[in-house]
Amino acid sequence: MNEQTNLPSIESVLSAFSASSPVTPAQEQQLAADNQALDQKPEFLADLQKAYVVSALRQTLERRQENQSAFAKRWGKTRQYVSRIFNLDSKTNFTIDTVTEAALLLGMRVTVQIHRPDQEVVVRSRASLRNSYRSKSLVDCQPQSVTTTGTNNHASNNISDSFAA
Amino acid sequence: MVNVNPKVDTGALLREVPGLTLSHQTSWKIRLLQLQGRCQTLSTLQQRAETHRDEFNEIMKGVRLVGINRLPPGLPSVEKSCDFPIHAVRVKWGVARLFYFYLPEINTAVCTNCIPPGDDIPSGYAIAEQLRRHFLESASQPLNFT
Repeated sequence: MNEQTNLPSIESVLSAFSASSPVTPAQEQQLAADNQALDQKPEFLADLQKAYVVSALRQTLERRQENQSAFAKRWGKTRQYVSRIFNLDSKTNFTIDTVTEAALLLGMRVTVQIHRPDQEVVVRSRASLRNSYRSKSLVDCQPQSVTTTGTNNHASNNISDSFAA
Repeated sequence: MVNVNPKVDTGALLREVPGLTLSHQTSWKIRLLQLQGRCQTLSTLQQRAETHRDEFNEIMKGVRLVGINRLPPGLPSVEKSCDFPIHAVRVKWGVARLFYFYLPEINTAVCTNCIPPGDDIPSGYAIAEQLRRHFLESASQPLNFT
């Protein structure tokens, strides 16, 4: 151990590192297959979704500098119940109703999306959406409407066309 | 694989996690540290997938959580060292850990080492910190030449 930092010497770390057994391409392929198979297991995916939700709730609570006891009191639940949810206790199953209640109390919203595997769900702020709409209408639509007719009616048609596209 | 330092061959590479897709890494890319042709994390994960499938599944769940959360997930399955900027994905029922650190410059979480085999948890963190320092020194070498 390095006395100043309580770290092992880099030589010993590298030596242990290089002693690890190499992984053959076949083993790596098998590992990839095992990992991908997890994305087909409903219980694995459900656990993962629960973890995403609880992680978001915990982070929000932390941001608000509120502890679990105070939150439990505000929610009208016991400290133990909140703790079980926040620690992902396997015996405590929570519903969309529960999550929505908790999120609303924390000033957040819940959106449940079902989508194809090749799609991603992206959460954006309203300000960012507004900005992208504005820039889209200015860049894509306005010049066209001005050059063709110059009327507001045509401009709004063009805007909706460009969004539809 | 990404060569950490294209100008100086330090033998340090960042490997992708086999089977982890882009959709699991929307906030942080997850990479495994490889030094001198060896990747301790890959080797351990491969062994655990064969012998302790539950542990492997739990670690992979944690890895997906790290990849998709901008902040370190505030969950029992992920913990942080009090002494070093090192985090660990853990299983709830045992000592298994996958240690990693965040590298915001390239938006990547770098996995350094795993336990088991061998060491206890504090030693695992210390080894991870030493590997992090070694990696950062290797990666910053080109800056000294310019």
